[in-house]
Amino acid sequence: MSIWASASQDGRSLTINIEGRFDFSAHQDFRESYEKTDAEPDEYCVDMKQTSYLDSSALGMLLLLRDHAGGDSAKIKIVNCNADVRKILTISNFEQLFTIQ
Amino acid sequence: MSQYKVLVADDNASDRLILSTILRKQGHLVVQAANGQEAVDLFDAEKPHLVLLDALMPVMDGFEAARLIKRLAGEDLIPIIFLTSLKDAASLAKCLDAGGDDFLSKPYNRVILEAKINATQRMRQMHETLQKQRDQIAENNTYMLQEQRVAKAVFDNVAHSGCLDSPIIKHLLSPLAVFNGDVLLAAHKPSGGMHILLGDFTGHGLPAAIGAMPLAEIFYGMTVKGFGMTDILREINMKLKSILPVGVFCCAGMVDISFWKRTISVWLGGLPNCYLLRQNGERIELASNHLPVGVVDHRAFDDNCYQYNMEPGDRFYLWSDGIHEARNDLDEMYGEERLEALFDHTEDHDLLFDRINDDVNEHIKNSAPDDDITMLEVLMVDESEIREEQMVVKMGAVSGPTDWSMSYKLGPTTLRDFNPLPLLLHQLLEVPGLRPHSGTLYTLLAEMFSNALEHGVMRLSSDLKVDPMGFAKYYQMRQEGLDNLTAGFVEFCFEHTPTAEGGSLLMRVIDSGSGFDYGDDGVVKAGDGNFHGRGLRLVASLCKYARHRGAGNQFEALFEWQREI
Amino acid sequence: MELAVIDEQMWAELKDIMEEDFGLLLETFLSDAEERLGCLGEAIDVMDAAALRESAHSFKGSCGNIGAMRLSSMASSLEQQVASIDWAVAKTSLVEMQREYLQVQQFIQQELPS
Repeated sequence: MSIWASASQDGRSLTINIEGRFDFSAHQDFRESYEKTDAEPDEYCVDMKQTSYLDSSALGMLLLLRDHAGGDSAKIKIVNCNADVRKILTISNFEQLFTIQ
Repeated sequence: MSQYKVLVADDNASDRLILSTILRKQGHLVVQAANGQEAVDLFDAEKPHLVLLDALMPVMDGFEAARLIKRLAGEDLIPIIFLTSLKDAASLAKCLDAGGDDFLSKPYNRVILEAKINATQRMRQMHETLQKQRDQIAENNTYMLQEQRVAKAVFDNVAHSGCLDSPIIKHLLSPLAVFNGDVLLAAHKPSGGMHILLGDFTGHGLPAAIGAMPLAEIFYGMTVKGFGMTDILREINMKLKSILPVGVFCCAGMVDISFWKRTISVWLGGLPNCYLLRQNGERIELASNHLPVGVVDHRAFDDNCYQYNMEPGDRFYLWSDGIHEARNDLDEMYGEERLEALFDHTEDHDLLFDRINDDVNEHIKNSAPDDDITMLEVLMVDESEIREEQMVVKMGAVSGPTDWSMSYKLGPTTLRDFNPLPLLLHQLLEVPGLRPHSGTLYTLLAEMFSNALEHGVMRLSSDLKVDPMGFAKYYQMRQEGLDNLTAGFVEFCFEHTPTAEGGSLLMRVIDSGSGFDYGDDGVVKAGDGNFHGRGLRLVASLCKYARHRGAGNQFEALFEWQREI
Repeated sequence: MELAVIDEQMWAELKDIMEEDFGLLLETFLSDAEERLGCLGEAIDVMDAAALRESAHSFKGSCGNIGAMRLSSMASSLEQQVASIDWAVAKTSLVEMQREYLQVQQFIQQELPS
């Protein structure tokens, strides 16, 4: 499992990539990816192209990101989900809080 | 330089003397033995940090002595260095095999001796540190287990099983499920029917269990007082949102069953698909359509429920994701397909519940379950079958005032600054029989109040409310009127009377306005034309009757409620 | 290379280590050596191979420690002979050792403070 973040040219958006299993062990790395960045983005993108699996603690981490990004006014996209990841996001109705593509 | 106590065992007096002197000059304490037996005895008595043993000694040789000393040392690591003039590899290896940690060749070299002493002592100290840490961990673990035991006892008192042992319910909940975040609650409603709630908190251990307590308190507390499911869910959501940290939430499913009406209402947030199974085998899948509880605040909370009719013999299934996520030793999940297949291929629905349990356990077999299986089946029965069970509850239910009247008059300051509706509603809900109708009552109060305030006190006209622009202007004027209010009042009068079927609540709202000509009898009918506002027509549709009175500045409505059993 | 009666370097080192206890060490060695030689003689007389090996091994060690290298090597070969012992040869070896010991003893007694 590894996590890395990259900011856009103009620093307005931050993309966080998660490779492997997105579970409790990712807790610290995930937080650091958006807390320890020089950029002050207006919007975030969580790229799950290489994410194999997602559990409820990962959902919790997404909520923490949302809280950090402004709560109700946060703009967060979750992209490139595989079928399993999509399913979990659907059951939890997270598309009510995040834009899922 | 540290000082150690060293045991020197050598049958040769001059060898012993040389070694002891070297050691003493290095600052260590020396204890001497002349043979293996003496060495063992002195080891027991003196508890040295290090043992220097000659390999060949009379009475008992060094190898035997080493074995006994290691046994005496037990768990502790006391290094043994063999002293030997043997030079062949086999003999040297024998020293280490016998339990020696190192060997020192004769004639003794001071420098090498000192280096070996320090090396072996580092080993001993590291071993000691490990032991202390291990003991600390074991102690902490014991405390933690004890804490969990206490937590569980408290939890069991708060989140008791309610009516889970009712004959119409089958359920699975492991005794320590709460530490996996799973909770299952069921209670009879005083008006008849049942509430059931299944919760799956994120996380494990005490943090997962802690949220379960306020959840259970609210569930049982409000159910027994007669509150409706959506009110309870709203309250639970508010509570959990306020006390749980961001990122911790509860996937939940709640069910309100009425045996008298033969209906089921279902709210699902974050749980996997639940099934409604009809006697004829038709299976309806209900998908979770809400965010889990504790995620959004009360404004965004959606209490929309599925509603279905159920005939006796129909069953409803509710479960956490423990079933779907159960893995076998090939790391394959049990999954929804297997579950569906089981449903499709089981003719006798009575056997279904146990079959699901067996099948999932068969799938897991030898691999350790990482989540508990929490599930519930509830059977719809004829109301008469459940009546006796419910009667017990009803007799113990909380009571409240049944015949009373009150009035409440609000002056301009209050009207300007204060929304009186929650307070008024709270008063009304003191009547247990009114609690299932809190939503309806709030609507009635709100419509009558806004009618009285806007048209009566502030004399605003509804003519504006025909298009969006008009609405906006209307509400702007309303706000301005409110901000500048210096005179006027709105008075609420309530009178509640018990009836044979339940009770009736008479509501009258009087405003300080001059009224208007409402024609003949002032009765508002639900299907009326434009003369009466939409709001009042809504009131009429929810009540036995609704009418204008007096000069047109009074509005009266009668709301009736029935007991279920 | 011919071994010295007493290895000078070891002697110096021992003196250095023992300091004021040097005399004690020398006396201890002397009394121990006398006893050892006695044991060796007895073992040969009663033809006890095990006892012979034990004593020879021990004597070898203590001679080595004090720097009496020639004596030590003699004890060592005696120890090795035990496997296929010829008691007559052993007796001769012992006599040679006793002669060597006298030289060692002389050397030591010169060095002993009065």
